[in-house]
Amino acid sequence: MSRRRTLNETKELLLATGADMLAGDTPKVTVGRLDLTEVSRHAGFTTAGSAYKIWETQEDYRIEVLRHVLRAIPADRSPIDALRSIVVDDPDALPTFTELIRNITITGSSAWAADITLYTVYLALWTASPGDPELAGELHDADVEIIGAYAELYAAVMDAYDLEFIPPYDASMFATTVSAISEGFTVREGATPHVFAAALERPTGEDGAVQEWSLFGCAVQAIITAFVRPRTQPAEVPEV
Amino acid sequence: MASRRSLDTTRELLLDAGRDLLIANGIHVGMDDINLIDVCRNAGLKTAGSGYKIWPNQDEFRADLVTYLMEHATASFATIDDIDATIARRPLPPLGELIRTAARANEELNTSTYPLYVVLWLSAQSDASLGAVFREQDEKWLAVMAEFFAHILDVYDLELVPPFTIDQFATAISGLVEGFTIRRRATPELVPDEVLRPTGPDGTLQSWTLYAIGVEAIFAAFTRRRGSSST
Repeated sequence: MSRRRTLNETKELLLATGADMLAGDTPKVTVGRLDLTEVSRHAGFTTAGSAYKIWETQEDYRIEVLRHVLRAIPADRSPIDALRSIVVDDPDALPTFTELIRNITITGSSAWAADITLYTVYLALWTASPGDPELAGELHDADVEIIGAYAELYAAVMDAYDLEFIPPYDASMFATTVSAISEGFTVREGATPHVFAAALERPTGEDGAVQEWSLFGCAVQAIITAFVRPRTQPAEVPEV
Repeated sequence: MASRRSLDTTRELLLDAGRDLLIANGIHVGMDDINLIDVCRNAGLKTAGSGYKIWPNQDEFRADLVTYLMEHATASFATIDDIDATIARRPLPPLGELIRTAARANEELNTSTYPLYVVLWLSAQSDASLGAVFREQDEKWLAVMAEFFAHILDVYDLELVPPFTIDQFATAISGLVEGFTIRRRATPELVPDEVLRPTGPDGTLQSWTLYAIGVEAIFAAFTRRRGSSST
């Protein structure tokens, strides 16, 4: 019993150490460079012997660390919280709709897709998922949950600004499209960063004043323009 | 000459074996675990000697493999050729119809080639020298896409709304298809196979993908009729 607990503790320690090396405040390695000997040393072991009692191969370990990190991703709801605090918590101080879009997208796509390091972990798992149904299921459930939360929030934003989705679109299609833009732009930014380097200056301010936009923000605004219109019918009042 | 052809053949054999090994290992690990000795063994060669005649070291082999895979991962060149042929015909199809049909074809191609691209992207994040090779190839790809979209804008008498550049326009559309490729595999039920819109003749319903709708939205926001001052 005591030996089993020790193995479990060792396992937790090595997973936490690997997760920190991969996606902590100052990531030290990326997935392909996560070496079990190195992780063991960081965790205070002199050799990787204990680790190999738990995982047969380095690959088994890497996948488990990735999953460990993945479980932390849905916990990052800061973009949702930020948007909710602007739109839902203080409806009397609403910015213009254009200003809202500009503001919440100005930091670019990677901030929107949580964090670039975590997104790298996500993509690594995404490439591994076809051969691992359990992993694919975990990814799927986490994604459905977070995109659903965004869809719910976007519906509240529509209400706050007296807007509606143009049929046949709905909040789920919209949230999925914004998620796709966010993810695709994060990949693009990692491949050709110079395209994203400079802010775009557009005359969107009061009286045509020039304001800075991110490319991500411009794309999100394009999607909103295509999916959304002013409400044509009064909002339904639920029957009492 | 015979000897050179033989080296070229061996190079291709080993690069193909490298790709196969990458996929067999579980491509999430990227390029780090791919070494020339395993690749030669996988290709049926007894030793790595032939490999080292082509590449002096592992790093050069991996860099060459990235270039080779990037060239093969860009299968959507086929879509570009199809679209070029379509817009060379007269009468010119309406832009909406071109977007609707081309976007679906592009999405289908991307589904098969994209996971390999993501592996290379992941490797580029972790390895500075591979990253440099990868980015050089991606720059070439961006240049091709920019030229392609500039041609479409010309044919349809459109121009970019300032301050957008053709690189940003091409990047926005590429980002969109990549994001939808990720979404379709991870959460297929959130990406409908078709969205019916009354865009056909006399308002008949036509089948669109969310990606095609997104591309149409990017066109609407980033471009305008040439010479006009608004979209």
